[in-house]
Amino acid sequence: MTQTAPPLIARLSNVTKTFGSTRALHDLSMDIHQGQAVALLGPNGAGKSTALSILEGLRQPTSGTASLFGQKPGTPAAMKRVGITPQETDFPPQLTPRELLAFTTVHFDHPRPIGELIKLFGLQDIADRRVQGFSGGQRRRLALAMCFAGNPELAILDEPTAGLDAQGQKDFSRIAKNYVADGGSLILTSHYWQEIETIADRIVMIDNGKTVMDGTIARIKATFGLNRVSLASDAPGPFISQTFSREDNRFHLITNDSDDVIRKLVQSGEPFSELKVSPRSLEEAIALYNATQNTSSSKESEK
Amino acid sequence: MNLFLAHTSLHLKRLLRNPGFWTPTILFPMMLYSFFGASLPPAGIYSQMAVGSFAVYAVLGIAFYQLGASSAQDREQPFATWQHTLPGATLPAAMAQMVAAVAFTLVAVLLVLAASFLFGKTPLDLEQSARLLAICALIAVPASLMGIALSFAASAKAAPALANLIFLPLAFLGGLWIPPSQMPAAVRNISIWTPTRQMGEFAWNAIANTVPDTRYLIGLLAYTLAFGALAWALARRDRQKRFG
Repeated sequence: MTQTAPPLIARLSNVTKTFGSTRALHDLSMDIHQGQAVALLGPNGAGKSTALSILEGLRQPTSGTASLFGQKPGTPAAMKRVGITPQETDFPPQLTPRELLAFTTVHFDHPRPIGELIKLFGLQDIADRRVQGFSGGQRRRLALAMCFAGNPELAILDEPTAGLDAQGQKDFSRIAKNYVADGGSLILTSHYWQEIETIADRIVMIDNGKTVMDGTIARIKATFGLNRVSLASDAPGPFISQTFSREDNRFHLITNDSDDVIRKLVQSGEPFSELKVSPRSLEEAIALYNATQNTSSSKESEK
Repeated sequence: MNLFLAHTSLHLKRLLRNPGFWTPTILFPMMLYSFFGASLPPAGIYSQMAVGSFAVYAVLGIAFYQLGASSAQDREQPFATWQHTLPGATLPAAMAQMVAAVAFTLVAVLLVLAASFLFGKTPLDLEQSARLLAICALIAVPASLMGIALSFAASAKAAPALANLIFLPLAFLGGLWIPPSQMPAAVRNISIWTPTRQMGEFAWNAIANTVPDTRYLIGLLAYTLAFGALAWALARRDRQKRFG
């Protein structure tokens, strides 16, 4: 952590959580500073939801401590500064979005105007219709509007765009980016890599209730390159054989300096065909990051 | 205050816009009274007692179905969990439920009274009506505690069935449908131990302007304490389960 780090807004500190004999979280620690957009990743059952519910004050740690804006999660002082969108978008079917938003905003000191929320999340046509009969996408947009209704300093977004169409996902990415640009912080879980890459600037990956990776996307990319070079060769010489890894008839290399590799390849004079250079996805970069780190002790949160 | 109003208005809107919910709780006591209570008993005191029976039935209906089954179902909705994360929402949400229960009880009992003026052979006079209303407010305390205990005891799926399973036999055994004097002796012996009979005795005595037998007084007080303790323990268990 650098000395110029912005204020700490959320912290899980050595949190262990057990449900009966099941251990959902094991000595998990995580800091979130103001202005960060953190993607919380991990396979199903890794403990993401449990970690979020502890931050939301819905669950109490078995051991360790949790804090939100210096307060215990769940206390009104802490929750006034947080917006939460539930993973399941079930709303009382008898109510309208306008009514639900009005109800939500009453709980906060500086809520966003309801008209603004309706416009921002594209609810104009359905604002005064009852939720009964809404599509999954319409419910999702309402859930997002409710998360941001209180003008939160921290938004906790659990699968925010599950069920949204491509345009809806894009719209949300834009809203989330603007929100962070205006000084907001967020925690996001998502299955969409593009969404993660667009919105988040830091990734925390947990597995089996432990942090297995914590780093900024910029750093992951800088360290683990962006390009995959692939080619075919009938008679690979020493350069190709030693530099590339073979997969059937093709040779592959993942590198952060593809220009240099190709220069050397040409200089080697070894025969090759069907050269392809493709940018590697964040998903692949993270897989590689994990392969090299292979520990849970590497936690850095510099920006 | 704003929070309290917002929660109450949200809760009332949800209930009022759901006829499937309020038809059985609010209209049924009045309808059942009109069909049976108004026509079957002879004129005079029996006709008046029937008003008391169905008023108690109305109070219990709200307790079992609104505070009981309906709350159990609401509680399992993800929306309720999300609502729990809103700052300062816990107390106003609970108070909104109580206010809605009081309001619905009042309407249900007033409808029974209105029906008795329209169709009853011997309607209650104003003083009797006022005493009955007051005693209904008192009976609502143990009834609500029974409903709240039920809501924490059963899952959303099981709650409506459990409510029927307890409520309907208790209403019968308590003499709310057939006056105790017309019950078979075996049933009458059980009847005196049921909370519904004790509530009925309070209502009937209020109409007759007499004092209920001490054993009903002690009985209902004991049930109130017991259901209060049960509701408290079950609420604690539920809290631990959902937010522990």
